[in-house]
Amino acid sequence: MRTAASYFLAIGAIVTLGAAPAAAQAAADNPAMYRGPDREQRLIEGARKEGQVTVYSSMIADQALRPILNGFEAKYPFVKPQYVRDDPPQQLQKVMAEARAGRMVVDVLESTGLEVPVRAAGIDQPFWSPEVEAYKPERRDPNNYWAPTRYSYLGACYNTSLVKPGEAPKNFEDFLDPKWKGKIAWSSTVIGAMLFITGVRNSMGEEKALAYLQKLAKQDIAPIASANRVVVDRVMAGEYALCLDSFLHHPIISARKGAPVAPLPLDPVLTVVSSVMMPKAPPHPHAAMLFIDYLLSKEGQGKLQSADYFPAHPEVSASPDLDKIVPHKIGLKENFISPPKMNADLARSRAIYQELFAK
Amino acid sequence: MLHVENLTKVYAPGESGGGIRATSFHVTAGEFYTLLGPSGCGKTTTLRSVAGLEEPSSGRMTLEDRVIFDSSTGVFVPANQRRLGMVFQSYAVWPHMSVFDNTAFPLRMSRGKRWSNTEIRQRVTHTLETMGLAAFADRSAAQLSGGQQQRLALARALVAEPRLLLLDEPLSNLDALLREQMRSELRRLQKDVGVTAVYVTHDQSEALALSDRIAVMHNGRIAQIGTPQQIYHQPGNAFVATFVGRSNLLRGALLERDKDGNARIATALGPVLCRAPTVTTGLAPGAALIRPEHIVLTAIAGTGDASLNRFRGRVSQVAFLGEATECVVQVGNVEILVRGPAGQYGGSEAVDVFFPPERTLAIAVDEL
Amino acid sequence: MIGRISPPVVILLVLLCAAIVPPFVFLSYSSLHYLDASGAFGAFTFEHFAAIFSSRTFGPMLLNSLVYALGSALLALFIGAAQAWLAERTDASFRQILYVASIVSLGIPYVLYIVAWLLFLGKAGPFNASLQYLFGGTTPYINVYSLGGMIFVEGLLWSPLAFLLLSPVFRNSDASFEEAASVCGAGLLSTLRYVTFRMARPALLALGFLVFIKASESFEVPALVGLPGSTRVLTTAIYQKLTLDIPPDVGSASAFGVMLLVVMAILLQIYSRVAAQTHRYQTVTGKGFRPRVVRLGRWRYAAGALIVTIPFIVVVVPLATILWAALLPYYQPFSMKALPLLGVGNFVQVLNSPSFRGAIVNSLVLGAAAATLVTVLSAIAGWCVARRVAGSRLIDTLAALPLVFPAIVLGLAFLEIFVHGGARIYGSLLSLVVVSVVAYMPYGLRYAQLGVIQIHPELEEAAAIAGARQTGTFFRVVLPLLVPALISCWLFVFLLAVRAVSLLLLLVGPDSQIVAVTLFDFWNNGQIGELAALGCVWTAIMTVFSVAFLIVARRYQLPIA
Repeated sequence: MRTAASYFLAIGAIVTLGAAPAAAQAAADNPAMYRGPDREQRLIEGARKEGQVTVYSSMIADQALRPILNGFEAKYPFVKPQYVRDDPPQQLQKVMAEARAGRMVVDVLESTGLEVPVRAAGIDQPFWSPEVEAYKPERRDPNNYWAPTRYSYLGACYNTSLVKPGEAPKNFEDFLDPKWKGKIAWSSTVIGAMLFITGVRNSMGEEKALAYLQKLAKQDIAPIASANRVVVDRVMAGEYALCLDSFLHHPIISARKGAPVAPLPLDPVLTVVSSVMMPKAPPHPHAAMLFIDYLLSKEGQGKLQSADYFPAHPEVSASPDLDKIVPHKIGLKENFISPPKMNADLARSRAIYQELFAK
Repeated sequence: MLHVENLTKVYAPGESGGGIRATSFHVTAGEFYTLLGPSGCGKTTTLRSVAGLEEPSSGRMTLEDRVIFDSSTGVFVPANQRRLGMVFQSYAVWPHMSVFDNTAFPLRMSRGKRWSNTEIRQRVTHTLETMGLAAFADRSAAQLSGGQQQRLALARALVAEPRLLLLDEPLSNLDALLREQMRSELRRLQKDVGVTAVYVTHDQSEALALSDRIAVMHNGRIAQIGTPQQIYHQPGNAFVATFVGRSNLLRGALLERDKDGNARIATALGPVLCRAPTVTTGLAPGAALIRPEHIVLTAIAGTGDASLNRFRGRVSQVAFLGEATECVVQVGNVEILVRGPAGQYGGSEAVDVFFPPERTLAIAVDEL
Repeated sequence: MIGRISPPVVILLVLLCAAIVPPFVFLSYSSLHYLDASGAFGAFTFEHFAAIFSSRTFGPMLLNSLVYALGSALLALFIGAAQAWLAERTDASFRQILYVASIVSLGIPYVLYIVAWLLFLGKAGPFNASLQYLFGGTTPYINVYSLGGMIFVEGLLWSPLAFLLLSPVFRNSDASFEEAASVCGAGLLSTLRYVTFRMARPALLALGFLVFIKASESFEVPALVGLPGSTRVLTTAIYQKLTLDIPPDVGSASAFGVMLLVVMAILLQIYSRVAAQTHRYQTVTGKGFRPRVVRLGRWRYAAGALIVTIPFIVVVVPLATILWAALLPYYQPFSMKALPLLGVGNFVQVLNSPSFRGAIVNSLVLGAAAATLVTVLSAIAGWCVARRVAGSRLIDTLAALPLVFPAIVLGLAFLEIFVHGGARIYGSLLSLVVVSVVAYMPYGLRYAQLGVIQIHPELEEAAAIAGARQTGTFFRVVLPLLVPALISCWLFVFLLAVRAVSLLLLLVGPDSQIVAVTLFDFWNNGQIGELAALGCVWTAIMTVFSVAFLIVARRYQLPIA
């Protein structure tokens, strides 16, 4: 017994002694913050060994996520990308569970509104990419925990077979018209109704916002417990005439395929930014960095452009098809909700939702 | 050969099966020994204890001088090490194996001797021939008829030359004709092979026809052990008397007993003179036992010594059985069953009933 | 032999305890503690329970759960019993169609089936459109996203199983009881009312209660049909607590889970009483037994029409709807002007995508692994229980305990185990296998036990007398005789495991995607075309398995469930 115990103690000592310098070395080698001149070479070699990258994103898979992954795979064919598309709450639940369970699967997290809770949970790490330098400093994290990937403009949309263009609501007040009662739907998620309420509070001020929302609650808005995209699908299918909280580019994309749907930007236009984060100890750190580079690069942002999303890269403009929903091009104001603001206002918006809208 | 001493098995409440209490008997080599009794008397429990399928609560058993169970020393040899053969009530022929594989199983499982494949083939073939099953060797056991399954079960039980053959009501699932046939075959086979057999049955005629000795069991105890003749003609108590064969039992008080072993019992009919070889004096409650076939019926003669075991009655029912006639004679308040040659009496006749004293037996009734 | 527990039984008991006890512990622990921002357990609290009880939505939620479960049970029972009677006791035309349809429906994933009905009955679906065409008006006549819609879909979902379970009841009841009623002057309807269905009543009651329990713990229909219309039940409340809030409210979800456990424990207790009654009228005597066929005369063709209609509703309508959706680039209701849009793009996308092929492979691996492990474990445990080996009572109780867990709650409990327990298998296919084995052990055990009971104990004793050890007896005698029961056990567990959504919804990771959960995600993400295409491919594969299952079960006369 004694000999066995001392044997294990000795092994333990060796491992511990050896581990300290190894850890320091690992920190310097961490591809997330590495800035050496051979950075790209290193990332490519590391990624080649890792052979895989797992991306969690809230982008709609068949519209934007898959084209980006395909572009990445074409550029680095030795890295097989796989993805999971979830709404932000599920993304957060999964990443936190993985971190706590000690089995990280996710390499890259792309989402809307998770910057603050992920930081609070302490499960992400700062990263540096040469591509980041092209972005405006005020639109990215000074501590390098996240970088912007895309902007989104939110607003209403309507079914063009059920509603004639002239009869569609034009501003927030128009949605209170009794003729729309029971014909409006929204997503009951954090990025749906909660964000809408936060937006209204931000633009109207608490008092007026509450009065408006109380009137809106009388319209029996149908809560769809799915992504905003699904609500647009329901409107296209004719189940509802109006959607209150769509990402405005979704109806444009569908309308181009022939679906009877059109966007309705409401002044001021609710604007949010989505960002990319890197979890602590991802299983494929080199491939993860390589993907982040690609996502932030002009080339990757170009994929967003062709997918009719709004690239965050200052030098990549949105597709001209989207001009009719870009606020400054149609003379509307932006109602920008920053990530910290979105998170800070969530609890109050949820309480309002529960009070007024939850049946 | 097999010695069973003070074997006791107590069942926990809720468990099924008849317990046994302090049962002792021994079986000598080559003997055909039968445990006979009604259901729940403990005969199957006793057999399964001998087989090692049940662990008794206390007692001791030896087989060929080797202890197979002893509660005081904690010895319990499991069933698969006792080298026994057993035929089950359901035959327990394995339906997923062929006739050959069923028979070969005990040889393949053998612990002492290692059997080569050729030896197994020879031995199984020989055993199947003895049983008249050689033609079915490759057939699936599930395809056999009831009688054939019975033979197969026997072949399997005998193939490895067991120290003891145990049979648990093996004939009860066969129809009447086949049962008689198998009965004589079983007896012949046991003698030919020379195996010691312990047989369990509730059928007295099977027990009488097959056995060298019979142990009649009742309520977990052995009521009497003896040859078939002893059991039938000299039942030790009222239970054995009524369970084995048919009998008229006239209860009453023992009046007197002489030194020649004759006794007089005061019955409802009046005093009856009987033989009393086993009944000791002072046993107040007793009974006179007489078998129906030993009663003599005569037409009323009006003469003779009416006092000696002769009573007057009237025939109340007659049943014609082919080789014999049975009738019920009403004597006072008592009904007496009489068996005699066919066609002797009609109904409603006044008759004299005579119990020959040498055929009438005084027995104790305390166990009833 | 009382008091002596053999080593295999000890191993089995330890395994079962290791599988069953942690879910209870972790679930109740997390329902009574706060979580901090990093997801670690914090201080003790009753607040999660207090919040639920003080919430004004809790009462309506309970009422919804009750009405929904009761309605589904009645509907499934009504359809199932009508089909079973027509198929087993009458000479109606086309009776065989019922069996074929029921078998096919066993292979359709729940999500696919539900989505089909949502598309068909939706506000813009063909059903409402036809009503509007027939009776005028522009507003939809029915709203499928309602309690009624939930009952309708869940009831239909259970009707094939109700039919398959009830048909032996009608098949095995002795015709002489009905003939006796006829001789006494009762007509067909009176005989049906006072004898046939009266005698089947214990079985009907037990089955109805079973569907009631299954509906109470169901998640798929409440999530897909109920939530869009804000009809919440207990199971969906758990899901919403985990997926609507940032950060996820695990404590409240667990508190809901604990309450569901209590409800289920009570329901199952009642069920075991009800099920014990089913043997009261058991009438198979073996002597002169033959079922009688009721001659329907001129009603024969009417009944035939009914027989064709039921499978049409239960199978053809949903499958046709799904096929329509699979062939469209984006979903739209049936119309002539949509015809030019039809194409196989979705199928190409699904079959070419490595991640969907991966999901199919994962599902098959998961199903096969879970079924194999459950079968092996239940063969041993089932034998111990049926032969009342020392310690078997405990085995029986432990292995039945997972029945108390609704699938979504067991999934949540295992999520907490994987997250806090340090096993480092969260998100892996292995973890899904572990959870599935625990969840389906009770069903496997029941199968194996029934199989062992059919084996006469003397067959084993004969082997012991012949010199075989216990292991030898098990492998040479018991196991070969158990094979048919075990094959059907395997197929049954396989079908259950690959169909499940709610059990694994919270546990799948990117490298362990399975078809059933992928379909669910598709619906939530609005990928209807791909959902339908993947669903079609999967249904085709599953039909092969369900047909195999039924063939085995019928050939060896084993119970279907």
